[in-house]
Amino acid sequence: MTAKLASEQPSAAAGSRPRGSDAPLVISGMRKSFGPNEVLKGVDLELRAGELLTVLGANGSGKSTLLRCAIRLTDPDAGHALLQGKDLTALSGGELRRARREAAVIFQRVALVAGRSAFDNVCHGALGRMGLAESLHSRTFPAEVKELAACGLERVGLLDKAWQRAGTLSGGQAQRVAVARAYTQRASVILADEPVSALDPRAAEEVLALLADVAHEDGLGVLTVLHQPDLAVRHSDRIVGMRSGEVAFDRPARDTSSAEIAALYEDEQGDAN
Amino acid sequence: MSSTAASLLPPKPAVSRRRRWGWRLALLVLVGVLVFSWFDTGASIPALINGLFAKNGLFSWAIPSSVPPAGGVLWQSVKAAVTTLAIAALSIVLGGVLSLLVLPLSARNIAPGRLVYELTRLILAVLRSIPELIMLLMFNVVMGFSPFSSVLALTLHGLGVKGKLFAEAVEEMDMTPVDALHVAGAGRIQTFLHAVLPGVRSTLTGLTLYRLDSNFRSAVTLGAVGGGGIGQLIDSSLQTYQFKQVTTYIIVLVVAVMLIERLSTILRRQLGQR
Ligand SMILES: Nc1ncnc2c1ncn2[C@@H]1O[C@H](COP(=O)(O)OP(=O)(O)OP(=O)(O)O)[C@@H](O)[C@H]1O
Ligand SMILES: [Mg+2]
Repeated sequence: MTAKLASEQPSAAAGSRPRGSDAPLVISGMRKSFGPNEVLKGVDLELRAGELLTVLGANGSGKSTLLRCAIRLTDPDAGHALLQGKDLTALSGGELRRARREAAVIFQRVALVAGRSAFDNVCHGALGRMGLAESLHSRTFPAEVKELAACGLERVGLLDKAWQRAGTLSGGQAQRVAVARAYTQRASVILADEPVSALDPRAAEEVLALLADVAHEDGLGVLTVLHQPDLAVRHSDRIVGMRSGEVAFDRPARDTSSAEIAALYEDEQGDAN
Repeated sequence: MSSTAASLLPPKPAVSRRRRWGWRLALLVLVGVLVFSWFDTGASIPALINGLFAKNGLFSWAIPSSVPPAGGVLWQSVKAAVTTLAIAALSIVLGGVLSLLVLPLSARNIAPGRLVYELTRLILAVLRSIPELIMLLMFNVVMGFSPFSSVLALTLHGLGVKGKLFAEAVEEMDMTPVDALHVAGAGRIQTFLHAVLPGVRSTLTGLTLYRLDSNFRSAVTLGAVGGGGIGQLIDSSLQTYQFKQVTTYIIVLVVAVMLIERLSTILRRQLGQR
Protein backbone atom coordinates (compact mmCIF):
# COMPACT_ATOMS: atom_id res chain seq x y z
CA MET A 1 0.00 0.00 0.00
CA THR A 2 2.19 2.78 -1.21
CA ALA A 3 -0.34 5.11 -2.79
CA LYS A 4 -1.01 7.82 -0.27
CA LEU A 5 -3.78 10.28 -0.15
CA ALA A 6 -3.21 13.66 -1.73
CA SER A 7 -4.75 15.63 1.12
CA GLU A 8 -1.49 15.36 3.03
CA GLN A 9 1.14 17.86 3.95
CA PRO A 10 0.83 21.58 3.57
CA SER A 11 -0.03 23.40 6.80
CA ALA A 12 2.50 22.78 9.54
CA ALA A 13 -0.13 22.33 12.23
CA ALA A 14 -0.07 25.34 14.48
CA GLY A 15 0.66 24.91 18.15
CA SER A 16 2.23 21.51 17.68
CA ARG A 17 5.45 20.51 19.27
CA PRO A 18 7.10 18.39 16.64
CA ARG A 19 9.95 16.38 18.03
CA GLY A 20 11.83 16.30 14.81
CA SER A 21 10.70 12.79 14.10
CA ASP A 22 9.32 11.32 10.91
CA ALA A 23 7.48 8.57 12.77
CA PRO A 24 3.85 8.40 11.65
CA LEU A 25 2.57 8.60 15.22
CA VAL A 26 4.27 10.53 17.98
CA ILE A 27 2.57 10.81 21.34
CA SER A 28 4.09 13.21 23.82
CA GLY A 29 3.23 14.27 27.35
CA MET A 30 -0.20 12.66 27.16
CA ARG A 31 -2.23 13.20 30.33
CA LYS A 32 -5.77 12.24 31.15
CA SER A 33 -7.76 12.06 34.37
CA PHE A 34 -11.28 10.86 34.96
CA GLY A 35 -12.31 12.83 38.00
CA PRO A 36 -9.74 12.15 40.71
CA ASN A 37 -8.46 9.11 38.83
CA GLU A 38 -5.25 10.06 37.07
CA VAL A 39 -5.16 7.53 34.26
CA LEU A 40 -2.36 8.86 32.06
CA LYS A 41 0.50 10.65 33.77
CA GLY A 42 2.42 12.06 30.85
CA VAL A 43 3.03 9.31 28.33
CA ASP A 44 5.58 9.59 25.52
CA LEU A 45 5.49 7.06 22.75
CA GLU A 46 6.66 6.90 19.19
CA LEU A 47 5.34 4.51 16.59
CA ARG A 48 7.64 4.10 13.61
CA ALA A 49 6.74 3.05 10.11
CA GLY A 50 7.25 -0.64 9.45
CA GLU A 51 7.21 -1.75 13.04
CA LEU A 52 4.80 -3.69 15.20
CA LEU A 53 4.77 -2.09 18.62
CA THR A 54 2.96 -3.77 21.48
CA VAL A 55 1.79 -2.10 24.66
CA LEU A 56 1.58 -4.40 27.66
CA GLY A 57 0.13 -3.54 31.05
CA ALA A 58 -2.29 -4.64 33.74
CA ASN A 59 -6.02 -3.96 33.62
CA GLY A 60 -6.64 -0.31 34.22
CA SER A 61 -3.09 0.80 33.51
CA GLY A 62 -4.43 3.18 30.88
CA LYS A 63 -3.67 1.39 27.62
CA SER A 64 -7.07 1.87 26.04
CA THR A 65 -7.26 5.43 27.28
CA LEU A 66 -3.90 6.16 25.69
CA LEU A 67 -5.08 4.73 22.42
CA ARG A 68 -8.34 6.61 22.49
CA CYS A 69 -6.59 9.86 23.39
CA ALA A 70 -4.10 9.38 20.58
CA ILE A 71 -6.89 9.59 18.00
CA ARG A 72 -9.15 11.89 19.97
CA LEU A 73 -11.92 9.39 20.57
CA THR A 74 -11.33 10.74 24.06
CA ASP A 75 -10.01 14.24 24.58
CA PRO A 76 -6.76 14.26 26.57
CA ASP A 77 -6.18 16.84 29.31
CA ALA A 78 -2.71 17.64 28.03
CA GLY A 79 -0.16 16.38 25.57
CA HIS A 80 0.09 16.00 21.84
CA ALA A 81 -0.52 13.30 19.28
CA LEU A 82 1.21 13.91 15.97
CA LEU A 83 -0.25 11.73 13.26
CA GLN A 84 1.77 12.07 10.08
CA GLY A 85 3.00 15.36 11.39
CA LYS A 86 -0.39 16.79 12.22
CA ASP A 87 -1.25 17.49 15.82
CA LEU A 88 -4.65 15.89 16.35
CA THR A 89 -5.00 17.61 19.70
CA ALA A 90 -4.96 20.98 17.95
CA LEU A 91 -7.51 20.14 15.26
CA SER A 92 -11.26 19.95 15.25
CA GLY A 93 -14.19 19.35 12.95
CA GLY A 94 -13.45 18.54 9.34
CA GLU A 95 -9.72 19.05 9.76
CA LEU A 96 -9.60 16.50 12.56
CA ARG A 97 -11.63 14.09 10.49
CA ARG A 98 -9.28 14.38 7.53
CA ALA A 99 -6.14 14.07 9.64
CA ARG A 100 -7.53 11.09 11.52
CA ARG A 101 -7.99 9.07 8.35
CA GLU A 102 -4.29 8.22 8.57
CA ALA A 103 -5.10 5.94 11.47
CA ALA A 104 -7.21 2.81 11.36
CA VAL A 105 -8.50 1.36 14.58
CA ILE A 106 -9.18 -2.26 15.42
CA PHE A 107 -11.07 -2.96 18.61
CA GLN A 108 -11.30 -5.97 20.85
CA ARG A 109 -15.01 -6.25 20.23
CA VAL A 110 -15.46 -6.74 16.57
CA ALA A 111 -16.16 -3.35 15.06
CA LEU A 112 -17.77 -4.46 11.84
CA VAL A 113 -21.31 -3.64 10.85
CA ALA A 114 -22.87 -7.04 11.42
CA GLY A 115 -25.70 -6.75 8.93
CA ARG A 116 -23.48 -5.90 5.96
CA SER A 117 -21.23 -8.10 3.88
CA ALA A 118 -17.52 -8.41 4.57
CA PHE A 119 -16.92 -6.61 1.30
CA ASP A 120 -19.14 -3.65 2.21
CA ASN A 121 -17.37 -3.40 5.55
CA VAL A 122 -14.02 -3.23 3.80
CA CYS A 123 -15.38 -0.52 1.50
CA HIS A 124 -16.41 1.50 4.56
CA GLY A 125 -12.75 2.31 5.11
CA ALA A 126 -12.97 4.72 2.18
CA LEU A 127 -16.10 6.54 3.36
CA GLY A 128 -14.01 9.46 4.56
CA ARG A 129 -12.71 10.04 1.03
CA MET A 130 -16.06 9.66 -0.72
CA GLY A 131 -18.44 12.45 -1.50
CA LEU A 132 -21.81 12.30 0.15
CA ALA A 133 -23.66 11.31 -3.03
CA GLU A 134 -21.47 8.33 -3.84
CA SER A 135 -21.49 7.17 -0.24
CA LEU A 136 -25.26 6.98 0.09
CA HIS A 137 -25.47 3.28 -0.64
CA SER A 138 -22.98 0.49 -1.08
CA ARG A 139 -24.15 0.20 -4.69
CA THR A 140 -22.97 3.72 -5.40
CA PHE A 141 -19.49 3.24 -4.00
CA PRO A 142 -16.92 4.20 -6.68
CA ALA A 143 -15.22 1.46 -8.66
CA GLU A 144 -11.84 2.55 -7.35
CA VAL A 145 -12.99 1.79 -3.80
CA LYS A 146 -14.40 -1.59 -4.76
CA GLU A 147 -11.15 -2.49 -6.45
CA LEU A 148 -9.19 -1.45 -3.39
CA ALA A 149 -11.53 -3.41 -1.14
CA ALA A 150 -11.07 -6.53 -3.21
CA CYS A 151 -7.29 -6.09 -2.94
CA GLY A 152 -7.62 -5.71 0.82
CA LEU A 153 -9.68 -8.86 1.16
CA GLU A 154 -7.17 -10.72 -0.96
CA ARG A 155 -4.37 -9.38 1.21
CA VAL A 156 -5.94 -10.86 4.33
CA GLY A 157 -6.87 -14.08 2.52
CA LEU A 158 -10.62 -13.69 2.71
CA LEU A 159 -11.63 -13.09 -0.88
CA ASP A 160 -13.93 -16.09 -0.71
CA LYS A 161 -15.84 -14.63 2.23
CA ALA A 162 -16.54 -11.32 0.48
CA TRP A 163 -20.31 -11.73 0.37
CA GLN A 164 -20.76 -13.29 3.77
CA ARG A 165 -22.48 -11.08 6.29
CA ALA A 166 -19.94 -9.75 8.78
CA GLY A 167 -22.04 -10.93 11.71
CA THR A 168 -21.57 -14.53 10.64
CA LEU A 169 -17.78 -14.43 10.32
CA SER A 170 -15.63 -16.07 12.97
CA GLY A 171 -13.81 -13.76 15.35
CA GLY A 172 -10.49 -14.23 13.60
CA GLN A 173 -11.99 -13.65 10.17
CA ALA A 174 -13.73 -10.52 11.42
CA GLN A 175 -10.47 -9.05 12.72
CA ARG A 176 -8.82 -9.81 9.41
CA VAL A 177 -11.64 -8.00 7.64
CA ALA A 178 -10.95 -5.06 9.95
CA VAL A 179 -7.32 -5.14 8.79
CA ALA A 180 -8.53 -5.14 5.19
CA ARG A 181 -10.65 -2.11 5.99
CA ALA A 182 -7.50 -0.33 7.14
CA TYR A 183 -6.15 -0.91 3.62
CA THR A 184 -9.14 0.66 1.97
CA GLN A 185 -8.73 3.53 4.37
CA ARG A 186 -5.14 3.89 3.12
CA ALA A 187 -4.13 4.34 6.70
CA SER A 188 -0.47 4.65 7.56
CA VAL A 189 -1.04 3.59 11.13
CA ILE A 190 -3.10 0.78 12.64
CA LEU A 191 -4.05 0.98 16.30
CA ALA A 192 -5.40 -2.26 17.68
CA ASP A 193 -6.78 -2.49 21.19
CA GLU A 194 -6.69 -6.13 22.26
CA PRO A 195 -7.42 -7.39 18.76
CA VAL A 196 -7.00 -11.02 19.73
CA SER A 197 -8.50 -11.18 23.22
CA ALA A 198 -11.66 -12.80 21.93
CA LEU A 199 -9.88 -15.25 19.64
CA ASP A 200 -8.73 -18.81 20.10
CA PRO A 201 -4.95 -19.34 20.18
CA ARG A 202 -4.66 -20.25 16.52
CA ALA A 203 -6.71 -17.35 15.24
CA ALA A 204 -4.77 -15.07 17.59
CA GLU A 205 -1.49 -16.24 16.05
CA GLU A 206 -2.89 -15.69 12.58
CA VAL A 207 -4.13 -12.19 13.25
CA LEU A 208 -0.89 -11.13 14.93
CA ALA A 209 1.18 -12.63 12.15
CA LEU A 210 -0.95 -10.69 9.70
CA LEU A 211 -0.46 -7.46 11.64
CA ALA A 212 3.30 -8.03 11.76
CA ASP A 213 3.21 -8.71 8.05
CA VAL A 214 1.32 -5.54 7.38
CA ALA A 215 3.95 -3.61 9.31
CA HIS A 216 6.97 -5.27 7.76
CA GLU A 217 5.81 -5.63 4.18
CA ASP A 218 3.49 -2.70 3.69
CA GLY A 219 5.41 -0.33 5.89
CA LEU A 220 2.55 0.67 8.18
CA GLY A 221 3.11 1.51 11.81
CA VAL A 222 1.11 -0.99 13.84
CA LEU A 223 0.43 -0.54 17.54
CA THR A 224 -1.31 -3.30 19.43
CA VAL A 225 -2.42 -3.61 23.01
CA LEU A 226 -2.14 -7.20 24.18
CA HIS A 227 -2.68 -9.21 27.32
CA GLN A 228 -0.54 -12.12 26.14
CA PRO A 229 3.16 -11.41 26.82
CA ASP A 230 4.27 -14.50 24.91
CA LEU A 231 2.46 -13.42 21.75
CA ALA A 232 3.84 -9.93 22.19
CA VAL A 233 7.42 -11.11 22.51
CA ARG A 234 7.12 -13.44 19.57
CA HIS A 235 5.49 -11.09 17.09
CA SER A 236 6.37 -7.53 17.97
CA ASP A 237 9.45 -5.53 17.18
CA ARG A 238 9.18 -3.35 20.22
CA ILE A 239 7.38 -3.58 23.55
CA VAL A 240 6.21 -0.74 25.73
CA GLY A 241 5.30 -1.65 29.28
CA MET A 242 2.70 0.53 30.97
CA ARG A 243 2.15 0.72 34.67
CA SER A 244 -0.39 3.03 36.34
CA GLY A 245 -0.48 5.48 33.50
CA GLU A 246 3.26 5.69 32.95
CA VAL A 247 5.67 4.03 30.58
CA ALA A 248 7.67 1.55 32.65
CA PHE A 249 9.91 0.44 29.81
CA ASP A 250 10.20 0.80 26.07
CA ARG A 251 12.64 -1.47 24.29
CA PRO A 252 13.04 -3.95 21.43
CA ALA A 253 11.05 -7.11 22.04
CA ARG A 254 14.11 -9.33 22.09
CA ASP A 255 15.70 -7.24 24.84
CA THR A 256 12.79 -7.45 27.24
CA SER A 257 13.13 -9.71 30.22
CA SER A 258 10.28 -11.81 31.50
CA ALA A 259 10.94 -10.35 34.94
CA GLU A 260 10.20 -6.81 33.88
CA ILE A 261 7.11 -7.97 32.04
CA ALA A 262 5.92 -9.86 35.10
CA ALA A 263 6.51 -6.75 37.19
CA LEU A 264 3.88 -4.93 35.12
CA TYR A 265 1.20 -7.19 36.49
CA GLU A 266 2.24 -7.07 40.13
CA ASP A 267 -0.24 -5.46 42.42
CA GLU A 268 1.18 -2.09 43.29
CA GLN A 269 -1.29 -0.35 45.54
CA GLY A 270 -3.57 -3.35 45.93
CA ASP A 271 -5.90 -1.56 43.58
CA ALA A 272 -6.92 -3.70 40.68
CA ASN A 273 -9.22 -1.09 39.21
CA MET B 1 -28.33 -33.62 53.74
CA SER B 2 -29.38 -30.33 52.35
CA SER B 3 -29.54 -28.58 55.72
CA THR B 4 -25.77 -28.77 56.09
CA ALA B 5 -25.20 -26.71 52.95
CA ALA B 6 -27.88 -24.24 53.96
CA SER B 7 -26.30 -23.85 57.38
CA LEU B 8 -23.09 -22.77 55.69
CA LEU B 9 -24.80 -19.75 54.18
CA PRO B 10 -23.79 -16.47 55.74
CA PRO B 11 -26.64 -14.89 57.74
CA LYS B 12 -29.17 -13.21 55.53
CA PRO B 13 -28.84 -9.45 55.79
CA ALA B 14 -31.76 -7.99 57.77
CA VAL B 15 -34.18 -5.76 55.94
CA SER B 16 -33.45 -2.30 57.21
CA ARG B 17 -36.10 -0.44 59.21
CA ARG B 18 -36.08 2.35 56.69
CA ARG B 19 -36.89 -0.05 53.93
CA ARG B 20 -39.69 -1.74 55.87
CA TRP B 21 -41.33 1.57 56.68
CA GLY B 22 -40.86 2.64 53.10
CA TRP B 23 -42.91 -0.31 51.93
CA ARG B 24 -45.68 0.37 54.45
CA LEU B 25 -45.84 3.98 53.38
CA ALA B 26 -46.02 3.02 49.72
CA LEU B 27 -48.90 0.63 50.47
CA LEU B 28 -50.75 3.37 52.36
CA VAL B 29 -50.34 5.79 49.49
CA LEU B 30 -51.59 3.17 47.01
CA VAL B 31 -54.74 2.53 49.07
CA GLY B 32 -55.30 6.28 49.33
CA VAL B 33 -55.01 6.71 45.58
CA LEU B 34 -57.47 3.88 44.96
CA VAL B 35 -60.07 5.27 47.39
CA PHE B 36 -59.76 8.74 45.90
CA SER B 37 -60.07 7.39 42.35
CA TRP B 38 -63.16 5.35 43.24
CA PHE B 39 -65.06 8.40 44.47
CA ASP B 40 -63.59 10.83 41.96
CA THR B 41 -64.79 8.78 39.00
CA GLY B 42 -68.26 8.35 40.52
CA ALA B 43 -67.84 4.60 40.70
CA SER B 44 -70.83 2.93 42.30
CA ILE B 45 -72.03 -0.66 42.59
CA PRO B 46 -75.74 0.22 42.29
CA ALA B 47 -75.08 2.07 39.04
CA LEU B 48 -73.28 -0.97 37.70
CA ILE B 49 -76.12 -3.33 38.69
CA ASN B 50 -78.63 -0.94 37.19
CA GLY B 51 -76.70 -0.68 33.92
CA LEU B 52 -76.55 -4.46 33.63
CA PHE B 53 -79.99 -5.61 34.77
CA ALA B 54 -82.51 -2.75 34.52
CA LYS B 55 -85.31 -2.81 31.93
CA ASN B 56 -83.26 -0.69 29.52
CA GLY B 57 -79.95 -2.19 30.65
CA LEU B 58 -77.42 -4.40 28.95
CA PHE B 59 -79.08 -7.80 29.39
CA SER B 60 -82.74 -7.03 28.91
CA TRP B 61 -82.43 -4.47 26.14
CA ALA B 62 -79.04 -3.88 24.50
CA ILE B 63 -77.95 -7.48 23.96
CA PRO B 64 -81.31 -8.88 22.78
CA SER B 65 -81.72 -6.08 20.28
CA SER B 66 -78.16 -6.61 18.96
CA VAL B 67 -78.81 -10.06 17.51
CA PRO B 68 -78.80 -11.26 14.85
CA PRO B 69 -76.14 -9.04 13.26
CA ALA B 70 -77.42 -7.00 10.35
CA GLY B 71 -76.11 -8.64 7.17
CA GLY B 72 -77.04 -5.69 5.00
CA VAL B 73 -74.21 -3.51 6.24
CA LEU B 74 -71.52 -6.18 5.83
CA TRP B 75 -70.05 -4.81 2.61
CA GLN B 76 -70.20 -1.26 3.91
CA SER B 77 -68.42 -2.27 7.10
CA VAL B 78 -65.66 -4.11 5.26
CA LYS B 79 -65.11 -1.02 3.14
CA ALA B 80 -64.97 1.14 6.25
CA ALA B 81 -62.53 -1.27 7.88
CA VAL B 82 -60.30 -0.97 4.83
CA THR B 83 -60.42 2.82 5.17
CA THR B 84 -59.43 2.48 8.81
CA LEU B 85 -56.59 0.18 7.83
CA ALA B 86 -55.51 2.70 5.20
CA ILE B 87 -55.45 5.42 7.89
CA ALA B 88 -53.36 3.19 10.13
CA ALA B 89 -50.94 2.14 7.38
CA LEU B 90 -50.42 5.61 6.00
CA SER B 91 -49.87 7.16 9.40
CA ILE B 92 -47.49 4.46 10.50
CA VAL B 93 -45.36 4.84 7.40
CA LEU B 94 -45.35 8.63 7.58
CA GLY B 95 -44.63 8.53 11.32
CA GLY B 96 -41.86 6.00 10.74
CA VAL B 97 -40.22 8.11 8.06
CA LEU B 98 -40.39 11.22 10.23
CA SER B 99 -38.96 9.30 13.18
CA LEU B 100 -36.08 8.15 10.99
CA LEU B 101 -35.46 11.71 9.89
CA VAL B 102 -35.20 13.02 13.45
CA LEU B 103 -33.23 9.99 14.63
CA PRO B 104 -29.78 11.56 14.04
CA LEU B 105 -30.83 14.36 16.38
CA SER B 106 -32.86 12.45 18.94
CA ALA B 107 -30.40 9.74 20.01
CA ARG B 108 -28.00 11.03 22.61
CA ASN B 109 -25.01 9.07 21.40
CA ILE B 110 -25.11 10.36 17.83
CA ALA B 111 -26.73 13.77 18.21
CA PRO B 112 -24.55 16.68 17.13
CA GLY B 113 -24.92 18.36 20.50
CA ARG B 114 -26.54 18.18 23.87
CA LEU B 115 -28.86 21.11 23.16
CA VAL B 116 -30.12 19.70 19.87
CA TYR B 117 -30.75 16.38 21.55
CA GLU B 118 -32.65 17.85 24.48
CA LEU B 119 -34.74 20.04 22.21
CA THR B 120 -35.64 17.20 19.85
CA ARG B 121 -36.60 14.93 22.70
CA LEU B 122 -38.70 17.69 24.23
CA ILE B 123 -40.62 18.12 20.99
CA LEU B 124 -41.14 14.36 20.78
CA ALA B 125 -42.35 14.30 24.38
CA VAL B 126 -44.87 17.04 23.67
CA LEU B 127 -46.18 15.21 20.58
CA ARG B 128 -46.42 12.04 22.60
CA SER B 129 -48.30 13.58 25.48
CA ILE B 130 -51.07 15.11 23.38
CA PRO B 131 -53.52 12.22 22.92
CA GLU B 132 -54.36 11.25 19.36
CA LEU B 133 -57.99 12.15 19.99
CA ILE B 134 -57.18 15.72 20.99
CA MET B 135 -54.90 16.07 17.98
CA LEU B 136 -57.70 14.89 15.72
CA LEU B 137 -60.09 17.43 17.23
CA MET B 138 -57.55 20.16 16.54
CA PHE B 139 -57.01 19.01 12.96
CA ASN B 140 -60.77 18.76 12.48
CA VAL B 141 -61.00 22.44 13.34
CA VAL B 142 -58.46 23.53 10.75
CA MET B 143 -58.94 20.89 8.05
CA GLY B 144 -62.50 19.75 8.41
CA PHE B 145 -63.70 16.24 9.20
CA SER B 146 -61.98 13.65 7.03
CA PRO B 147 -59.95 10.47 7.34
CA PHE B 148 -56.92 12.53 6.41
CA SER B 149 -57.24 14.44 9.68
CA SER B 150 -56.99 11.06 11.40
CA VAL B 151 -53.88 10.27 9.40
CA LEU B 152 -52.23 13.50 10.51
CA ALA B 153 -53.18 13.04 14.14
CA LEU B 154 -51.89 9.47 14.20
CA THR B 155 -48.73 10.43 12.34
CA LEU B 156 -47.78 13.15 14.78
CA HIS B 157 -48.62 11.16 17.86
CA GLY B 158 -46.79 8.18 16.34
CA LEU B 159 -43.78 10.38 15.71
CA GLY B 160 -43.73 11.17 19.40
CA VAL B 161 -43.92 7.51 20.35
CA LYS B 162 -41.77 5.94 17.66
CA GLY B 163 -39.30 8.80 17.74
CA LYS B 164 -38.56 7.97 21.35
CA LEU B 165 -38.47 4.20 20.83
CA PHE B 166 -36.18 4.55 17.81
CA ALA B 167 -33.86 6.88 19.70
CA GLU B 168 -33.67 4.46 22.61
CA ALA B 169 -32.83 1.62 20.26
CA VAL B 170 -29.90 3.64 18.92
CA GLU B 171 -28.80 4.63 22.40
CA GLU B 172 -28.66 0.97 23.41
CA MET B 173 -26.79 -0.22 20.34
CA ASP B 174 -23.18 -1.30 20.35
CA MET B 175 -21.24 1.77 19.29
CA THR B 176 -18.01 0.02 18.34
CA PRO B 177 -18.78 -0.14 14.59
CA VAL B 178 -19.89 3.48 14.69
CA ASP B 179 -16.68 4.57 16.42
CA ALA B 180 -14.66 2.56 13.92
CA LEU B 181 -16.19 4.36 10.94
CA HIS B 182 -15.83 7.66 12.69
CA VAL B 183 -12.15 7.11 13.16
CA ALA B 184 -11.86 5.99 9.56
CA GLY B 185 -12.90 9.51 8.67
CA ALA B 186 -16.54 8.93 7.81
CA GLY B 187 -18.87 11.87 8.34
CA ARG B 188 -21.97 12.02 10.48
CA ILE B 189 -24.40 11.13 7.71
CA GLN B 190 -22.15 8.38 6.40
CA THR B 191 -21.80 6.72 9.79
CA PHE B 192 -25.52 7.05 10.27
CA LEU B 193 -26.28 5.34 6.96
CA HIS B 194 -23.66 2.64 7.09
CA ALA B 195 -23.25 1.80 10.77
CA VAL B 196 -26.15 3.13 12.84
CA LEU B 197 -29.05 2.20 10.56
CA PRO B 198 -27.87 -1.33 9.73
CA GLY B 199 -27.27 -1.85 13.45
CA VAL B 200 -30.82 -1.02 14.48
CA ARG B 201 -32.73 -1.85 11.31
CA SER B 202 -34.40 -5.00 12.55
CA THR B 203 -35.25 -3.41 15.90
CA LEU B 204 -36.87 -0.47 14.16
CA THR B 205 -38.92 -2.53 11.71
CA GLY B 206 -40.01 -4.69 14.63
CA LEU B 207 -41.12 -1.66 16.61
CA THR B 208 -42.98 -0.24 13.62
CA LEU B 209 -44.82 -3.43 12.76
CA TYR B 210 -45.55 -4.02 16.40
CA ARG B 211 -47.45 -0.78 16.46
CA LEU B 212 -49.52 -1.61 13.39
CA ASP B 213 -52.39 -3.18 15.31
CA SER B 214 -52.32 -0.58 18.06
CA ASN B 215 -52.41 2.08 15.36
CA PHE B 216 -55.40 0.35 13.79
CA ARG B 217 -57.28 0.36 17.09
CA SER B 218 -56.45 4.04 17.55
CA ALA B 219 -57.74 4.75 14.05
CA VAL B 220 -61.02 3.06 15.02
CA THR B 221 -61.31 5.27 18.08
CA LEU B 222 -60.59 8.40 16.09
CA GLY B 223 -63.33 7.36 13.66
CA ALA B 224 -65.85 7.65 16.47
CA VAL B 225 -65.15 11.39 16.76
CA GLY B 226 -65.44 12.05 13.05
CA GLY B 227 -62.22 10.57 11.79
CA GLY B 228 -63.88 8.28 9.25
CA GLY B 229 -63.66 4.55 8.78
CA ILE B 230 -65.38 1.85 10.80
CA GLY B 231 -65.25 3.81 14.04
CA GLN B 232 -67.47 6.46 12.54
CA LEU B 233 -70.02 3.84 11.40
CA ILE B 234 -70.15 2.35 14.88
CA ASP B 235 -70.67 5.77 16.40
CA SER B 236 -73.49 6.78 14.10
CA SER B 237 -75.32 3.46 14.45
CA LEU B 238 -75.08 3.69 18.23
CA GLN B 239 -76.52 7.19 18.16
CA THR B 240 -79.62 5.81 16.45
CA TYR B 241 -79.78 2.57 18.50
CA GLN B 242 -79.11 0.41 15.42
CA PHE B 243 -77.58 -2.30 17.60
CA LYS B 244 -77.79 -5.06 15.00
CA GLN B 245 -75.61 -3.03 12.66
CA VAL B 246 -73.20 -2.34 15.50
CA THR B 247 -72.86 -6.09 16.02
CA THR B 248 -71.83 -6.54 12.39
CA TYR B 249 -69.33 -3.71 12.64
CA ILE B 250 -67.80 -5.12 15.78
CA ILE B 251 -67.48 -8.60 14.32
CA VAL B 252 -65.73 -7.15 11.27
CA LEU B 253 -63.56 -5.04 13.56
CA VAL B 254 -62.49 -7.98 15.71
CA VAL B 255 -61.70 -10.10 12.67
CA ALA B 256 -59.70 -7.24 11.17
CA VAL B 257 -57.66 -6.70 14.34
CA MET B 258 -56.91 -10.40 14.60
CA LEU B 259 -55.83 -10.56 10.97
CA ILE B 260 -53.59 -7.54 11.42
CA GLU B 261 -51.99 -9.02 14.52
CA ARG B 262 -51.26 -12.18 12.59
CA LEU B 263 -49.91 -10.22 9.67
CA SER B 264 -47.57 -8.15 11.79
CA THR B 265 -46.30 -11.26 13.58
CA ILE B 266 -45.63 -12.99 10.27
CA LEU B 267 -43.91 -9.93 8.82
CA ARG B 268 -41.77 -9.49 11.90
CA ARG B 269 -40.72 -13.11 11.80
CA GLN B 270 -39.84 -12.86 8.11
CA LEU B 271 -37.80 -9.74 8.63
CA GLY B 272 -36.21 -11.14 11.77
CA GLN B 273 -34.79 -14.03 9.77
CA ARG B 274 -33.07 -11.77 7.34
N1 LIG C 1 -14.89 7.00 30.24
C1 LIG C 1 -14.32 6.79 31.45
N2 LIG C 1 -14.82 7.38 32.54
C2 LIG C 1 -14.25 7.17 33.75
N3 LIG C 1 -13.19 6.39 33.96
C3 LIG C 1 -12.63 5.79 32.91
C4 LIG C 1 -13.17 5.94 31.59
N4 LIG C 1 -12.43 5.21 30.74
C5 LIG C 1 -11.47 4.62 31.48
N5 LIG C 1 -11.59 4.97 32.79
C6 LIG C 1 -10.72 4.53 33.87
O1 LIG C 1 -9.40 4.71 33.45
C7 LIG C 1 -8.59 3.66 33.94
C8 LIG C 1 -7.80 3.07 32.81
O2 LIG C 1 -8.70 2.46 31.92
P1 LIG C 1 -8.22 1.82 30.56
O3 LIG C 1 -9.43 1.29 29.90
O4 LIG C 1 -7.41 2.79 29.83
O5 LIG C 1 -7.30 0.65 31.05
P2 LIG C 1 -6.66 -0.51 30.21
O6 LIG C 1 -5.22 -0.46 30.48
O7 LIG C 1 -7.10 -0.45 28.82
O8 LIG C 1 -7.28 -1.75 30.94
P3 LIG C 1 -7.76 -3.14 30.33
O9 LIG C 1 -6.56 -3.98 30.25
O10 LIG C 1 -8.71 -3.65 31.34
O11 LIG C 1 -8.40 -2.88 29.01
C9 LIG C 1 -9.49 2.70 34.65
O12 LIG C 1 -9.37 2.93 36.03
C10 LIG C 1 -10.86 3.08 34.17
O13 LIG C 1 -11.79 2.86 35.19
MG1 LIG D 1 -8.37 -1.64 27.56
